[in-house]
Amino acid sequence: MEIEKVSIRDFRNLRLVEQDFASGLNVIFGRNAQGKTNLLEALHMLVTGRSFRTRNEREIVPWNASGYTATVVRATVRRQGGTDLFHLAFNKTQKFVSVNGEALTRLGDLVGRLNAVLFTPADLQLVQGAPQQRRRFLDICLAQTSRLYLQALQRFDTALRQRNALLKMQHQRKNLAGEVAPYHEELAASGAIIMKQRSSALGELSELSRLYYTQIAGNNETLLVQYAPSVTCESLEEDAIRERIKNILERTLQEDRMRGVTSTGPHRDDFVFLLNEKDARDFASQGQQRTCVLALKLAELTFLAKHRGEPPILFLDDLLSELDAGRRTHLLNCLPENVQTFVTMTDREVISGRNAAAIFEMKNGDLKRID
Amino acid sequence: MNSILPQTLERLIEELSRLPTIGRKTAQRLAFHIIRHSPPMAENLASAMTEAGARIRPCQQCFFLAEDELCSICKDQRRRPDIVCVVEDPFDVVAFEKAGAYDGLYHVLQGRISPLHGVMPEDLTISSLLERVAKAQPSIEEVILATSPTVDGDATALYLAEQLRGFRCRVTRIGVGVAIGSSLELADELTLRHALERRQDVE
Ligand SMILES: Nc1ncnc2c1ncn2[C@@H]1O[C@H](COP(=O)(O)OP(=O)(O)OP(=O)(O)O)[C@@H](O)[C@H]1O
Ligand SMILES: [Mg+2]
Ligand SMILES: [Zn+2]
Repeated sequence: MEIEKVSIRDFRNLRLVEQDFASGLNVIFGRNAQGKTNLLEALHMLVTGRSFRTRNEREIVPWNASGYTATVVRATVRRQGGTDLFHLAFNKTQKFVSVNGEALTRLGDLVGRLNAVLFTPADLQLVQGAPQQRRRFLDICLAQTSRLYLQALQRFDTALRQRNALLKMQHQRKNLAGEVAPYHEELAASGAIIMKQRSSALGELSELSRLYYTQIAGNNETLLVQYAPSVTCESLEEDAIRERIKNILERTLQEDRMRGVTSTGPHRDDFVFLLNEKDARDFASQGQQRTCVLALKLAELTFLAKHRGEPPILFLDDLLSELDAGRRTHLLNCLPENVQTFVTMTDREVISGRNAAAIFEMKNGDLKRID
Repeated sequence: MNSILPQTLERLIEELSRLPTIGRKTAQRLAFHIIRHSPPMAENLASAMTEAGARIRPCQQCFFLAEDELCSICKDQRRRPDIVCVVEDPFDVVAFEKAGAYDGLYHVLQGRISPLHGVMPEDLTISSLLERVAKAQPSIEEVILATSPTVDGDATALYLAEQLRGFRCRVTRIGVGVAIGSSLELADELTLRHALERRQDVE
């Protein structure tokens, strides 16, 4: 997949960017606060319809653009078997998205049209942050490759909210066990699908991450990405997992009733980064943690390419910060050739020696090709 | 808000705009239409609404819409009384009837269980259903659970199946599968799974 051409109007400090991009590596360099991240933010909005930086799109509207009517991002995207025209426009009151001239009524309909992997400095949270962020990463990755997973996730979520509502009921229900049983069936059935896919995806991602980590670090540190499910199960069979979840939900019912929440289940799953068998969250340096996340993101890229039959687009914002010269060079060398990649950086020197397909400079919101 | 319209018309617009899918603008259009053809149209409409509002009530047996104690379906002697199809809403009855492939009776639950929205088994017509199955003469041989194939619909069906366990009638769940006339490619994976799990021998 690749973005051939883009036109961005009134997006933060970008007044007007009209640019063709190259296949392969596109380097965007510029000093701090010139609009590099803003550009990636605008392009990435075509993936989900939302910004990766803010939930509040009003923040994106330029502070003082005279004659402003709307923020617009248009792009021509080439994919296997065709070309798509994306059009996204919004202002403080309205939002509009269309693909090939056809308006989308729900943002959800955009998901899966443009696949991308994004890395920003904030992704260090994948190692350091709460389990929720790691689950989110897994869910987004798997939802792009499996409709079954997405549906199971939605059904699980509904059943979980129903169970929790039952647990929180003011008056003790006479037949709580009977009333909660149907939700246990659903949680077990959807939960088993979710756990099975998470487990096998993490197996693949771990193997790929290990390879990328060694390539970037250039040493013999070993990275392992390990599933830490809330419900452990000896067997990997869906039926066995289903029975196990059901059992645990039944066993914990009274305890959960006291707390008013469901304490165990795939909604509490996690995974850990083990660097030389030690938890990277507690023992790894900043640079090592960043390398862990980069390795996982590159693994995600390969995973998506394999399961969707086409490589996604790669966005790397500021990836070179906190990596030493050796790791930087190795990283640039292991970026896959056939993947359109956008890299931002402040220092142009870094990329000399590596053939970028195109080099751009961002200066005060203006993008110019300079190679 | 101060309106330039006469107060009676303003009230009509307001009442109309309370209806589902009707916004202020549509309500205004409808209101203008009604009064333009007055008085017959307005009067007919008003009397139709008053009468329906006063006379329509749930059927004593199946909770479908009725004017008398029993609805037209329950009254119909040609229908099989030994099979009951359990649905969520009166709409569902209309849909089944339109398909014309069913000649048994119905039971309208008047919703589905959803603790999140405060809808519990006692808020539906479940106890009436159980009583009906217990007492029916001639006896009910089969109960078809035809709630929607959503999480809530499935949970309601499972709950009912458990409640009906003590009776000697057969309990079945409508098949959920591939929509006829649609290609397999378009069916989602969960639907295909269900269709496969509940496959039947080819006669
Ligand atoms: N709504 C807005 N209207 C106008 N300017 C904005 C708006 N939001 C942010 N900016 C400005 O955009 C500028 C560029 O931001 P951006 O994050 O893209 O910089 P950058 O080139 O990525 O810098 P760095 O190298 O420091 O990451 C900032 O100076 C910021 O003040
Ligand atoms: Mg930046
Ligand atoms: Zn009736």
